[in-house]
Order: sequence, then C-alpha cells, then structure tokens
Amino acid sequence: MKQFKKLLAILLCAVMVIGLFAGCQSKDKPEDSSASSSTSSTEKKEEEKKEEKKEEPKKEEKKEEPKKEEPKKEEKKEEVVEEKGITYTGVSPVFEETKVISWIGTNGSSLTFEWDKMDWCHEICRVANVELEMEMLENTTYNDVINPRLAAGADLPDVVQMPSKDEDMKFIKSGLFAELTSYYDDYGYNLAWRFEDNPTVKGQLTTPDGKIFYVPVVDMSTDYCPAPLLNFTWTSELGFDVPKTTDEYYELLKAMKGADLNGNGEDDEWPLFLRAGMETFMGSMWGLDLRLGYYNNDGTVEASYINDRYLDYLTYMNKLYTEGLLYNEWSTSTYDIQNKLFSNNQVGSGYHYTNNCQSYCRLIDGEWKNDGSMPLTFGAVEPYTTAVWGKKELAGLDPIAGVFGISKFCEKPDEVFCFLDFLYSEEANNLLYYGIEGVDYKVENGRKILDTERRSTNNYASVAGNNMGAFPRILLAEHRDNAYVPEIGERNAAIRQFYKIPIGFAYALEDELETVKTYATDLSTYWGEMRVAFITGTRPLSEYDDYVNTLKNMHIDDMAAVYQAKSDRIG
Amino acid sequence: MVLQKKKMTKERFLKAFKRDKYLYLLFLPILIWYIIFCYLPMGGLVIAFQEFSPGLGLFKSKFVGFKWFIQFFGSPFAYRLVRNTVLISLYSLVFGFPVPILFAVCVTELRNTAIRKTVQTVSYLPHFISTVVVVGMIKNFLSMNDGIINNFIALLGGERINFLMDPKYFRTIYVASGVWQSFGYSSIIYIAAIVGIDPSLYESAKIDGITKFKEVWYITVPMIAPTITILFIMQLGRIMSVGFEKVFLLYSPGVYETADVISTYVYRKGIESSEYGFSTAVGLFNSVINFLFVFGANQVCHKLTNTSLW
Repeated sequence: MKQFKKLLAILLCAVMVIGLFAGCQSKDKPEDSSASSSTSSTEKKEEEKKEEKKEEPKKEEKKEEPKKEEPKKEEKKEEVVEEKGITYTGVSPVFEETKVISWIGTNGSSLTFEWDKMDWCHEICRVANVELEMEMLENTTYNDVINPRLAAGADLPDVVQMPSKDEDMKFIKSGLFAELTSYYDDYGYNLAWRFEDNPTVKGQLTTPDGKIFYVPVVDMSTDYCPAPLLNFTWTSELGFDVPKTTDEYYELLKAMKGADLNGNGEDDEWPLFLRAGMETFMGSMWGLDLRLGYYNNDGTVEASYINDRYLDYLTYMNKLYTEGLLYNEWSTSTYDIQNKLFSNNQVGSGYHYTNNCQSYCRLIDGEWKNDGSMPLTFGAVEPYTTAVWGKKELAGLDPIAGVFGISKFCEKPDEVFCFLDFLYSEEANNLLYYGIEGVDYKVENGRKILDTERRSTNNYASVAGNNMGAFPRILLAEHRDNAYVPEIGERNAAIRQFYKIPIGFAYALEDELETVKTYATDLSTYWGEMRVAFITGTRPLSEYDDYVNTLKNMHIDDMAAVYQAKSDRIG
Repeated sequence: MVLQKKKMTKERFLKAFKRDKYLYLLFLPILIWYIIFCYLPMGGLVIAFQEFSPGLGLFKSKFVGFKWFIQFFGSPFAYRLVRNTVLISLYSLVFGFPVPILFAVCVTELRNTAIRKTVQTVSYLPHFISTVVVVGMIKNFLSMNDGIINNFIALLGGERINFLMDPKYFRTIYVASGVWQSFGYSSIIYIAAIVGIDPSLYESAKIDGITKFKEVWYITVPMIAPTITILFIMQLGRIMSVGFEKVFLLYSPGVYETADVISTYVYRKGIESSEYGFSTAVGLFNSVINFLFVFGANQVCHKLTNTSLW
C-alpha cells in the first residue's frame, strides 16, 4: 500500500511537471492562433495549377516583352540569371518552380481576414508560381502581435507588413530587415516605372545614407480622403443650397436642429455627427493640420495647435457644441453609435472619408442599392471657406501608406523581392482591383466592363481580396472609382482639386529623432485633451493664451523645426 | 568545532530533505514556473538603462544610463501621472477594501440558506464579466442621451450630465464600478474566515447577553483581523498598478486630466512608439514603489498587530 502511494505520488509529480511544459511549443510546429488564419495559400489549387501551367504558352510570350522595363535592365537581368538563376523579368511567372514564401500581414483596407477565401490574391500567387504561407491577423490585434515579435527579433517570416512606416528607422537599425537597394536596381522592373510615375516616393523611401529597406504601399487615391458630408434629403427639404462658407453651414445646422426631419415626432436629430478624432479633419478648412499638428503653408511649416486660426476653429466648434448642433458625445462615440444614428436617420452632416457615404446611404435607407440606380442621399461636398483662411482646402494623404520588409531570416531575399515587385505589375494590379478576367470583368474596346451585380452582392469584392491590405501595392483613384457607385466617383472628381498632401513621410535624422522622441507624445497628449476641453467648454477659451504658452514651453517650436527640415528635404 | 556544526546542519538538511522529498517534488513545478516566468525575465530590466534595439538584443544595445528615468520625470505630466495613479488606487482601496468585509459579515448573519446563496451568487457574477463588457455597460448606463442614469436625472427634472467627457467624474466612475465588480468575489475569503470561527465563542457571548453588533465587533472582526491584515498588505503592494485595461477602455482625451495613469502613458509613449527602454524604466520605477509599499506596510502591521507576511 505504502509503495503504491509512493508510486502514485511520483506519477502525480511527473504529470504536473509535464503539464507545466505542455504549453511550450517547438519552433518547427506551425502556430495555431484563433485570431489568425495561417494556411498555405494555394494547396487546394495545386493540381489546377499544374494542369494550367502545361497549357499556358501565352505566359512565355508575355515573358519576352516586359511592360515598361528599360533595356539596361534586360542586360542586367541576363547577368543575374547566370549568377543566381533568377529568371524574373517583371512579368509572370516570377519563378520557374513553385516558391514557398512565408508572410505576416493584416487587411486594414476592407477588414476581411479570411485568406482562404481571397480568390483574387490566390490567383496572383498562382500566376506568379508562389505558394504563400500567409499568417493573416485581424487589424485590431495586428500591432499587439507584431510589435512584441519585432521587439524579440524572433519568429519572423520572410515578409513582414510593418506596424508603422519606421520613421525613426528603429527596425532598419536593428538589422532585422534586409537592405533592398541593389534588388531595386536588379529586379525592380515594375517598381521602377511606378516610381517614375510618382517621383517623390523613391526619395521618401531612401534613408539619409542612400539605402532602401522597404517596399511600400503607395496610395495615389488621395481624393477619397475626408471631406464635408451632407444629408442631401434634409438640405433640400429645408430649402437650403449646399453651403459655401462655414457661416452658411452654421445656418443650415441651426435649421436642421429640432426640425424633426426624420419625421418620428421626436427632437432627436444631430445636425453634425462626428466620432472621436474626426473633428481634426475639419481643421483643413482653417488651413490647419490637426492630425499631424504641423502644416506646410507655402513652404513654411506652422504648428497648427498654436496658430491664431486655431482659436477661430475652437470658437466655431465650441459654438456648435454649446448650441447642441454637434453630437454631444462625439469624443467617446463609437462605430455602434454611428451606425445606430444613421440607421435611425438622425444625422444631418458629417466630415469623413467620402467613400463611406455608400454605407451611410444604405444605413439610412435599407432599400438603397449601390448599383447606381438610386442617387446618393448622403454625400461629399466642396469644403466650406472660413473668413480667416479663405481657401477651399481638404487634407489629403501621404502617398506612402505603409511598408513591407524582408526579414533577415529569409534565405533568398532576392527571390522574395521579385515577387514583391511583381505585385506592382499591371497583371497583379488587375487581379487585385478588378478580379479575374472573364469571371469578374470582361474587356470591350480596351475598357474593363465590371460585373457590377456580382461585385455588389455579399461584399463579394472585399471577400475575394480587392485591394488586399497585406500586399504591397499601388492604389490609384481609378481603382477606388470602380469599387463604388459612379456618383461617389463623380463627387470625388469634383472636389479632387481641393486636396492638399500634408507634410509627407521622410526618415528623421538622428538629432531630429531625439527631438521627436522627447517631445511628441507629451505634445499630442496635451493638445488632444485641450482640444476636447475647449470645444466642450470644460476649459474656457479665455485660457487660450496660457495654453499656447504651455505648448511653447513643451517645445512645440522645436518640433515644427523638425518638420520644416523634413519638408525641405522632401522638397 | 565549526566544521562539526556545519556537518550537523548539512546532515539535518539532508535528513529533512529525504523525509519530505515528495513534498519538494510537488513544489518543484511551482519553483520552475517562478524561475522561468518571474525571475529570468528580470534580466530584461537592463533594457531600462539601454537604447534597446531588437536586432542587437540585450547585450549589444547601447547603454544610456538613467536617460529614460530623467525623461519620464522631466515630462510635464510626471506629477499628474503619479498623482492619478496613486489617487485612483487609494480611492479603490479606501472604498473598495471595507465593502467585502462588511458584505461577508452581513451574508454570514443571514439565516435563510436559500437567500444567502442567492445573494452570494449574484454578488460574484460581476467578477466574471470581462473588463471590455463592464466598460461597455458603464458607457451605456452613463450615456448622456439614453443612459439609464441620465434618464433618471432628467425624470427628476435635472440637467443631463456628460459623465464620460468631464474629468471630474472619472475617478468616481472608475472606483464605484470597481467596487461593484469585485466586492462579491473578494468577500469569499472573509466568509471562509468567519465560517472558521469557533461557534463556542458566539454561544458563550450569547449566554452573557451580548448584542448582535457587539458580537460582530468583539468576536467576528478580531478573529478575522489576521486575514484582513494580510490582504491589506497585499493590496498596498498594488497601489501603483491601476488596471490598465479598464482605464484604457474608459478614458478619452477629454478626461486625461484625471484619468491618464502611468500605464496608459507608457502605452502611448512606450509601446506605440516602440520605446522599449522608456517603458521598462517606468515599469521598474512602478515595481520599486510597489515593493516599498509592501515592505513598509508589512513592517507597520508587524509592529501593530504582530501579523505580517514575513
């Protein structure tokens, strides 16, 4: 009996010790995370691929005539073929034999994360002859996952979608990512002509010592950025024209208040709805950049939060808040509240990304269709002018929207780079934005005719991988035009001229970096809380001068000098 | 002589070890867990004194001395952050600590078993709701437009209050919801302590004709005093560790004045901007202050009540 007890005790201890280490995982085993779908991209299409490969001599022809590469590159290519056996010339297939590439990324552009269902992306891999081991994470958790892995400098796949543009070159300096400068020269066939079309991009990507480490996401669809949005039904019911100035806009908002425009018998309309942070977009009508905090006024960088025009902006916003025209809980409101208000037709105007109007219209009227047969009831209008600024201006976006790096753990970074370059080709671009020819669109007289019915059903295009955020890519206005109803495109075209690109991305020099690291968080904390306090009136505007002095003591001018220098460097 | 003494001590230790070997074996996994997850990571504290770079690692990153500490205390928000952190914790302690004790005393006095069990179960439930859901509920209840609290205020003819955007309400909201969430679950240990009190003490007191209040004051409270002391010391050890998740989910720039605590600031500055050295330095400062609180409270309690952690 005693011996049995001993044996039992030993067994129990052994089980506990084994249990303790059960959670530890071998490095070789694939990860299993509920938030991620880590699968081989083309497994199920493997057989199809082999069959089609046999009957595709067309592709070989294509290979002979790359789209825009320079002759110099052809010569270079031949040398490279001899040296490294890379046959890539800017067109598909990128590899003669299937190449496996591991990858981590997220899809912020459409918030669909099921890699297995992204047929358009799988098609890109198929024509490139690539098998992607994709670890697709949800957008909201991506930074929380990738940052610790980057901090640990371990467990990184071949290609990493960076959590930021690495403006302070932290990850570049850490040596975690391969230098790509020579690859750009040797294999950057498509990147080269894309950069020629958008000349600032390459300069922005180049470090002060002349090297390139990342492949970017280039977004040239700047005209789909935030703009004033208006409920056209309410405006016409009230007999108002589209406002031209902020004063006219104020009069319209006042008319909307309490007019029971949704006809439910209650005083529940909000003339202006904003979510937390959206109030910063409106700064552009005062010639301010309240997102970055610094504005390039014809070559001179101004700190927006201490500018005299900012006091005028605060006075105006405070007036909207105190008179009940601005949604009273905007600083804490969420998507749920936004959806609820739009669904109940309680919103008179807003200020947001213009393409969102499609979903706003659908929320207001469940019967509304996005096939172009019904007019927009909520859409973008020209920016209102203010007396202190006078210009019609909207804040655009920097063309570099994100970057991808090839990790130091990648055994063949040059080959992986070839695939990244291929993603910039016309062929990959067509698949990424228009889908598969013959299935999602057909070509007539050189124009792509999209199957709009198919695209508008069950979020089809997003699920299929339209504009997939985990790929480096170039996004043009025409790509967005095709994704939305024609009226959204028309309205964008009408306000395109007013967009101004803010101070663009550029790597910081060592001393600039030190200034940013020391002061940036404190400054944004202070101006963020004071912006809300002044608008809601918890701090009176009579304290504005003290506030400006505090920001000056917190070195806002030093920060403006950093952005001035960066701006000068970008040109 | 000394050698002999050493030999004896060694023999005694070996004898004790041999006797309790299975107990030591049972303890082994816990020891390993602590070494792996609590002591080995302490090596990472060196990051607090480095310009840490992931590629260079712990050994090759540049040493920067007290740069991050100086930067934190040089920040215009250092005082506010420490003040907010301490005040939120202190209020939670002052208002949150006695409630479970009172609740435990009341519950154990209930004679009807069905009511007692129902009350206990209902009071435990909020503990099992995730912070995200609790914060969602708080936001719904306190909404200015259709929250139940503001509807009630409006019903009484009062003016609706923007609770979540006004800094002066943040601490009250945080502490009150914290007490609601935790008092039931925290009372378990006190209920267990009260149930363990020898019933003969109460019986003899009853014979002496003691009132209910005096029974609680002179028997129940003194008997559970050691439990209260130990839990109080442990609570003090968390005075600088305000729950990050709840503050983070509940705050917005409009209430930074009273809501921004060290952990949320470190998140914004340290994690979002990848300043690992800075966040480690502030974390180290936090831990040192917590340790000093535990140590100080332990010494004071030891002197006053002769009950202490060590």
